[in-house]
Amino acid sequence: MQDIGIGTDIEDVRRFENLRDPAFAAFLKKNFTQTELDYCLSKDSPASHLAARYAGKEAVIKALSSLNITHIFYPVIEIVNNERGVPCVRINTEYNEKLHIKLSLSHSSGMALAFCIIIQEA
Amino acid sequence: MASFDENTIKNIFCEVLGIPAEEVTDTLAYNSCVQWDSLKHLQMVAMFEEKFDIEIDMDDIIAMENYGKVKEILHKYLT
Repeated sequence: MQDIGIGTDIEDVRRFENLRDPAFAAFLKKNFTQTELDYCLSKDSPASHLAARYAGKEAVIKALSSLNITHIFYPVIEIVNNERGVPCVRINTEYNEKLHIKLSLSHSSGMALAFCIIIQEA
Repeated sequence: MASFDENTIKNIFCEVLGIPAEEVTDTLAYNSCVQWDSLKHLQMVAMFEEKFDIEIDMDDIIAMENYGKVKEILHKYLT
């Protein structure tokens, strides 16, 4: 028996440009892993990548929520690219559900988009 | 850990949401304030944690649905 959850999110890239703002810096430190920050901040356009990662976390949370899973939150959701550049989701906390998470990210200069599908095995 | 200070909380609301202090009342709510979205919510939570040197539980972060509730929750951590 399987159940499927879906989630999507879209973010304005400009909102991720103010790296020197104290509130934004505190937000990044709390909600992104060091691996995610190292990856995003190594890019020519960190804001696009930060926005896409954040949209990805939102999409994962929405997909989890559609499966009535509400105990997994931003800081423990880590999105890292595999060797082919495909974003993969790691949940860095203990959880009992059997989940298969698929995530797609996209961004232009202005907007970042994420779509997530989660298959939960009973 | 710092002590409870409503002015600090209000200043964080004004700074992060970009609204004047007179608009920050107990009824100011997540679902009715256009500036208060999930990104701003997490930025405010991060600021509360930094300013007050506390760590806020996930359930409390979700429960912070209006300014009055935010004060009530932070009071719990700061007393």
